[in-house]
Amino acid sequence: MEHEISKEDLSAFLDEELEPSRNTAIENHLKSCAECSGELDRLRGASAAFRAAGSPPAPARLAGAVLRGKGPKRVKKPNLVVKWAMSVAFCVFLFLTMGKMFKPAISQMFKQILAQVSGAVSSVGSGN
Amino acid sequence: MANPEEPDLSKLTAEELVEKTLDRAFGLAVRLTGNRSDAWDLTQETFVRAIAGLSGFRGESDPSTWVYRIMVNAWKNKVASRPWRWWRRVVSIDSDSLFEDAGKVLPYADDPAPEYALESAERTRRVERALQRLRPEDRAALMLREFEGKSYREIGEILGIPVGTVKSRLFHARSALADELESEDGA
Repeated sequence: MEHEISKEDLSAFLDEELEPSRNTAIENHLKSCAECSGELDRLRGASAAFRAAGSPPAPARLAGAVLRGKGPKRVKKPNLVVKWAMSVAFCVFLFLTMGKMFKPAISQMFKQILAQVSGAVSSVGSGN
Repeated sequence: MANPEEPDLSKLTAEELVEKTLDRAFGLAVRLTGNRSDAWDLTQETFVRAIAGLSGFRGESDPSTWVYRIMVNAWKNKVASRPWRWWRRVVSIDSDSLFEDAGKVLPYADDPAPEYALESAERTRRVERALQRLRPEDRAALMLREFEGKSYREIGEILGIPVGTVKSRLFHARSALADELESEDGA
Protein backbone atom coordinates (compact mmCIF):
# COMPACT_ATOMS: atom_id res chain seq x y z
CA MET A 1 0.00 0.00 0.00
CA GLU A 2 1.32 3.43 -0.86
CA HIS A 3 1.67 5.63 2.20
CA GLU A 4 0.27 9.11 2.03
CA ILE A 5 2.01 10.10 5.22
CA SER A 6 5.62 10.24 6.32
CA LYS A 7 7.00 8.82 9.56
CA GLU A 8 7.82 12.34 10.64
CA ASP A 9 4.16 13.18 10.24
CA LEU A 10 3.34 10.28 12.54
CA SER A 11 5.63 11.72 15.18
CA ALA A 12 4.00 15.15 14.79
CA PHE A 13 0.58 13.47 14.92
CA LEU A 14 1.58 12.07 18.31
CA ASP A 15 2.33 15.62 19.45
CA GLU A 16 -0.91 17.04 17.97
CA GLU A 17 1.15 19.52 16.01
CA LEU A 18 -0.46 19.01 12.62
CA GLU A 19 -3.18 21.04 11.01
CA PRO A 20 -6.67 19.61 11.58
CA SER A 21 -7.09 18.49 7.96
CA ARG A 22 -3.78 16.61 8.08
CA ASN A 23 -4.71 15.09 11.42
CA THR A 24 -7.94 13.75 9.98
CA ALA A 25 -6.16 12.32 6.95
CA ILE A 26 -3.73 10.46 9.22
CA GLU A 27 -6.50 9.16 11.48
CA ASN A 28 -8.28 7.75 8.44
CA HIS A 29 -5.07 6.22 7.08
CA LEU A 30 -4.27 4.54 10.39
CA LYS A 31 -7.60 2.74 10.36
CA SER A 32 -6.47 0.67 7.40
CA CYS A 33 -2.67 0.60 7.65
CA ALA A 34 -1.16 -1.85 10.11
CA GLU A 35 2.37 -0.77 9.24
CA CYS A 36 1.77 2.87 10.13
CA SER A 37 -0.20 1.90 13.24
CA GLY A 38 2.74 -0.24 14.31
CA GLU A 39 5.20 2.58 13.70
CA LEU A 40 3.02 4.97 15.70
CA ASP A 41 2.95 2.50 18.59
CA ARG A 42 6.71 2.21 18.37
CA LEU A 43 7.20 5.98 18.58
CA ARG A 44 4.65 6.24 21.37
CA GLY A 45 6.49 3.51 23.29
CA ALA A 46 9.80 5.33 22.96
CA SER A 47 8.23 8.53 24.28
CA ALA A 48 6.67 6.68 27.20
CA ALA A 49 9.98 5.01 28.06
CA PHE A 50 11.72 8.38 27.99
CA ARG A 51 9.11 9.92 30.30
CA ALA A 52 9.22 6.95 32.65
CA ALA A 53 12.98 7.33 33.02
CA GLY A 54 12.41 10.77 34.51
CA SER A 55 14.60 13.81 34.37
CA PRO A 56 17.82 13.87 36.42
CA PRO A 57 17.20 16.20 39.37
CA ALA A 58 19.56 19.02 40.21
CA PRO A 59 22.08 18.33 43.00
CA ALA A 60 21.06 19.81 46.35
CA ARG A 61 24.00 22.23 46.47
CA LEU A 62 23.59 23.68 43.02
CA ALA A 63 20.93 26.26 43.95
CA GLY A 64 23.17 27.71 46.64
CA ALA A 65 26.16 27.73 44.33
CA VAL A 66 24.19 29.47 41.60
CA LEU A 67 22.89 32.18 43.93
CA ARG A 68 26.37 32.77 45.31
CA GLY A 69 27.50 33.25 41.76
CA LYS A 70 30.21 30.60 42.02
CA GLY A 71 30.52 26.91 42.65
CA PRO A 72 33.00 24.34 43.93
CA LYS A 73 35.74 23.61 41.52
CA ARG A 74 34.64 20.35 39.99
CA VAL A 75 37.37 18.00 39.00
CA LYS A 76 36.45 15.98 35.99
CA LYS A 77 36.40 12.37 37.05
CA PRO A 78 37.57 9.88 34.47
CA ASN A 79 35.32 6.90 34.18
CA LEU A 80 35.95 3.73 36.16
CA VAL A 81 37.49 1.69 33.34
CA VAL A 82 40.09 4.34 32.66
CA LYS A 83 40.89 4.65 36.37
CA TRP A 84 41.44 0.90 36.74
CA ALA A 85 43.54 0.70 33.59
CA MET A 86 45.73 3.54 34.79
CA SER A 87 46.14 1.92 38.23
CA VAL A 88 47.13 -1.43 36.71
CA ALA A 89 49.55 0.22 34.31
CA PHE A 90 51.16 2.11 37.17
CA CYS A 91 51.55 -1.03 39.29
CA VAL A 92 53.14 -2.93 36.39
CA PHE A 93 55.50 -0.04 35.74
CA LEU A 94 56.45 0.14 39.41
CA PHE A 95 57.03 -3.61 39.61
CA LEU A 96 59.21 -3.69 36.50
CA THR A 97 61.20 -0.64 37.53
CA MET A 98 61.84 -1.82 41.07
CA GLY A 99 62.65 -5.31 39.89
CA LYS A 100 65.24 -4.04 37.49
CA MET A 101 66.75 -1.63 40.03
CA PHE A 102 66.99 -4.07 42.90
CA LYS A 103 67.74 -7.30 41.00
CA PRO A 104 71.47 -7.40 41.97
CA ALA A 105 70.70 -6.64 45.64
CA ILE A 106 67.91 -9.25 45.72
CA SER A 107 70.19 -11.89 44.14
CA GLN A 108 72.94 -11.09 46.66
CA MET A 109 70.45 -11.42 49.52
CA PHE A 110 69.26 -14.82 48.32
CA LYS A 111 72.85 -16.03 47.96
CA GLN A 112 73.63 -14.95 51.52
CA ILE A 113 70.53 -16.69 52.85
CA LEU A 114 71.42 -19.82 50.88
CA ALA A 115 75.01 -19.73 52.19
CA GLN A 116 73.82 -19.42 55.79
CA VAL A 117 71.34 -22.25 55.39
CA SER A 118 74.01 -24.46 53.78
CA GLY A 119 76.44 -23.58 56.60
CA ALA A 120 73.85 -24.44 59.22
CA VAL A 121 73.05 -27.76 57.54
CA SER A 122 76.78 -28.64 57.28
CA SER A 123 77.44 -27.85 60.95
CA VAL A 124 74.46 -29.97 62.03
CA GLY A 125 75.67 -32.77 59.80
CA SER A 126 79.17 -32.72 61.27
CA GLY A 127 77.77 -32.84 64.79
CA ASN A 128 79.01 -29.34 65.87
CA MET B 1 -6.24 43.05 32.63
CA ALA B 2 -3.53 41.30 34.65
CA ASN B 3 -4.59 38.69 37.16
CA PRO B 4 -3.52 40.04 40.58
CA GLU B 5 -2.96 36.51 41.89
CA GLU B 6 -0.33 35.72 39.27
CA PRO B 7 3.20 36.91 40.02
CA ASP B 8 4.52 39.72 37.87
CA LEU B 9 7.14 37.95 35.82
CA SER B 10 8.82 41.20 34.84
CA LYS B 11 9.80 41.65 38.52
CA LEU B 12 11.24 38.21 39.07
CA THR B 13 14.03 38.02 41.63
CA ALA B 14 17.08 35.79 41.28
CA GLU B 15 15.81 33.50 44.04
CA GLU B 16 12.42 33.16 42.35
CA LEU B 17 14.04 32.45 39.01
CA VAL B 18 16.21 29.72 40.53
CA GLU B 19 13.28 28.23 42.41
CA LYS B 20 11.08 28.15 39.31
CA THR B 21 13.56 26.90 36.75
CA LEU B 22 16.74 25.37 38.19
CA ASP B 23 15.65 21.74 38.42
CA ARG B 24 14.26 21.64 34.91
CA ALA B 25 17.16 23.61 33.50
CA PHE B 26 19.59 21.12 35.03
CA GLY B 27 17.64 18.34 33.34
CA LEU B 28 18.11 20.06 29.99
CA ALA B 29 21.79 20.61 30.74
CA VAL B 30 22.24 16.89 31.38
CA ARG B 31 20.57 16.07 28.07
CA LEU B 32 22.80 18.54 26.24
CA THR B 33 26.09 17.56 27.85
CA GLY B 34 25.49 13.87 28.64
CA ASN B 35 26.91 14.00 32.17
CA ARG B 36 26.26 15.69 35.50
CA SER B 37 29.65 17.29 35.85
CA ASP B 38 29.41 19.31 32.63
CA ALA B 39 25.73 19.89 33.32
CA TRP B 40 26.62 21.53 36.65
CA ASP B 41 29.04 23.90 34.93
CA LEU B 42 26.62 24.68 32.12
CA THR B 43 23.75 25.32 34.53
CA GLN B 44 25.89 27.59 36.63
CA GLU B 45 27.09 29.56 33.63
CA THR B 46 23.51 29.85 32.38
CA PHE B 47 22.16 31.22 35.62
CA VAL B 48 25.04 33.64 36.04
CA ARG B 49 24.04 35.10 32.67
CA ALA B 50 20.34 34.92 33.38
CA ILE B 51 20.62 36.63 36.77
CA ALA B 52 22.87 39.30 35.27
CA GLY B 53 20.28 39.95 32.57
CA LEU B 54 17.22 39.66 34.81
CA SER B 55 16.49 43.36 34.71
CA GLY B 56 15.99 43.01 30.96
CA PHE B 57 13.49 40.16 31.25
CA ARG B 58 10.09 41.64 30.53
CA GLY B 59 8.01 38.60 31.42
CA GLU B 60 6.66 38.21 27.88
CA SER B 61 7.67 34.57 27.74
CA ASP B 62 7.80 31.81 30.31
CA PRO B 63 10.95 32.23 32.45
CA SER B 64 11.96 28.66 31.67
CA THR B 65 11.90 29.33 27.91
CA TRP B 66 14.12 32.35 28.45
CA VAL B 67 16.56 30.39 30.63
CA TYR B 68 16.65 27.50 28.17
CA ARG B 69 17.53 29.85 25.31
CA ILE B 70 20.44 31.20 27.32
CA MET B 71 21.53 27.68 28.16
CA VAL B 72 21.42 26.42 24.58
CA ASN B 73 23.44 29.42 23.36
CA ALA B 74 25.98 28.89 26.13
CA TRP B 75 26.22 25.21 25.26
CA LYS B 76 26.67 25.90 21.54
CA ASN B 77 29.51 28.32 22.29
CA LYS B 78 31.15 25.84 24.63
CA VAL B 79 30.95 22.94 22.16
CA ALA B 80 32.21 25.06 19.29
CA SER B 81 35.31 26.20 21.19
CA ARG B 82 36.27 23.06 23.08
CA PRO B 83 39.60 21.75 21.74
CA TRP B 84 39.94 18.45 23.57
CA ARG B 85 36.84 16.51 22.58
CA TRP B 86 38.50 13.11 23.11
CA TRP B 87 38.88 13.80 26.84
CA ARG B 88 35.21 14.75 27.00
CA ARG B 89 34.34 11.36 25.55
CA VAL B 90 36.49 9.67 28.18
CA VAL B 91 34.92 11.46 31.12
CA SER B 92 31.40 12.05 29.94
CA ILE B 93 29.63 8.78 29.29
CA ASP B 94 28.54 7.51 32.66
CA SER B 95 24.81 6.97 32.56
CA ASP B 96 24.76 5.24 35.97
CA SER B 97 25.77 8.48 37.68
CA LEU B 98 22.96 10.54 36.20
CA PHE B 99 20.69 9.89 39.15
CA GLU B 100 23.25 10.15 41.95
CA ASP B 101 22.35 12.57 44.78
CA ALA B 102 18.69 11.92 43.96
CA GLY B 103 18.03 10.12 47.23
CA LYS B 104 16.40 7.19 45.49
CA VAL B 105 17.17 5.12 42.45
CA LEU B 106 14.24 6.32 40.33
CA PRO B 107 13.12 9.83 41.29
CA TYR B 108 9.53 9.37 40.21
CA ALA B 109 8.91 5.85 41.50
CA ASP B 110 6.27 6.14 44.21
CA ASP B 111 5.67 2.43 44.60
CA PRO B 112 7.70 1.29 47.64
CA ALA B 113 7.89 -2.37 46.54
CA PRO B 114 11.59 -3.19 46.15
CA GLU B 115 10.99 -5.39 43.09
CA TYR B 116 9.33 -2.51 41.29
CA ALA B 117 12.12 -0.14 42.32
CA LEU B 118 14.79 -2.50 40.98
CA GLU B 119 12.93 -3.07 37.73
CA SER B 120 12.37 0.64 37.30
CA ALA B 121 16.03 1.35 37.97
CA GLU B 122 17.09 -1.14 35.30
CA ARG B 123 14.62 0.32 32.83
CA THR B 124 15.93 3.78 33.56
CA ARG B 125 19.51 2.66 32.98
CA ARG B 126 18.55 1.09 29.64
CA VAL B 127 16.86 4.26 28.50
CA GLU B 128 19.80 6.38 29.63
CA ARG B 129 22.24 4.10 27.78
CA ALA B 130 20.11 4.43 24.67
CA LEU B 131 19.88 8.21 25.08
CA GLN B 132 23.66 8.53 25.24
CA ARG B 133 23.78 7.33 21.65
CA LEU B 134 21.55 10.14 20.42
CA ARG B 135 22.82 13.52 19.34
CA PRO B 136 22.65 16.17 22.09
CA GLU B 137 20.29 18.31 20.01
CA ASP B 138 17.89 15.39 19.59
CA ARG B 139 17.95 14.63 23.31
CA ALA B 140 17.29 18.27 24.13
CA ALA B 141 14.35 18.46 21.70
CA LEU B 142 12.83 15.32 23.18
CA MET B 143 13.24 16.60 26.72
CA LEU B 144 11.64 19.95 25.89
CA ARG B 145 8.69 18.20 24.30
CA GLU B 146 8.13 15.29 26.72
CA PHE B 147 8.91 16.96 30.05
CA GLU B 148 8.27 20.61 29.38
CA GLY B 149 5.37 20.21 26.98
CA LYS B 150 6.81 22.92 24.75
CA SER B 151 5.24 23.41 21.36
CA TYR B 152 7.27 22.94 18.20
CA ARG B 153 7.41 26.71 17.79
CA GLU B 154 8.76 27.16 21.35
CA ILE B 155 11.30 24.35 20.90
CA GLY B 156 12.40 26.01 17.67
CA GLU B 157 12.87 29.33 19.47
CA ILE B 158 14.88 27.72 22.26
CA LEU B 159 17.12 25.63 20.00
CA GLY B 160 17.34 28.27 17.27
CA ILE B 161 16.01 25.99 14.54
CA PRO B 162 12.98 26.05 12.22
CA VAL B 163 9.78 24.20 13.15
CA GLY B 164 10.36 21.71 10.34
CA THR B 165 13.72 20.80 11.87
CA VAL B 166 12.09 20.37 15.29
CA LYS B 167 9.64 17.90 13.76
CA SER B 168 12.47 16.02 12.12
CA ARG B 169 14.61 15.96 15.30
CA LEU B 170 11.78 14.65 17.43
CA PHE B 171 11.03 11.87 14.99
CA HIS B 172 14.70 10.98 14.78
CA ALA B 173 15.07 10.96 18.57
CA ARG B 174 12.04 8.72 19.12
CA SER B 175 12.95 6.37 16.31
CA ALA B 176 16.56 6.04 17.41
CA LEU B 177 15.48 5.48 21.02
CA ALA B 178 12.99 2.82 19.91
CA ASP B 179 15.72 1.11 17.85
CA GLU B 180 18.13 1.08 20.78
CA LEU B 181 15.57 -0.25 23.22
CA GLU B 182 14.55 -2.97 20.76
CA SER B 183 18.17 -3.98 20.21
CA GLU B 184 18.75 -4.14 24.00
CA ASP B 185 15.66 -6.31 24.32
CA GLY B 186 16.97 -8.61 21.65
CA ALA B 187 20.52 -8.74 23.08
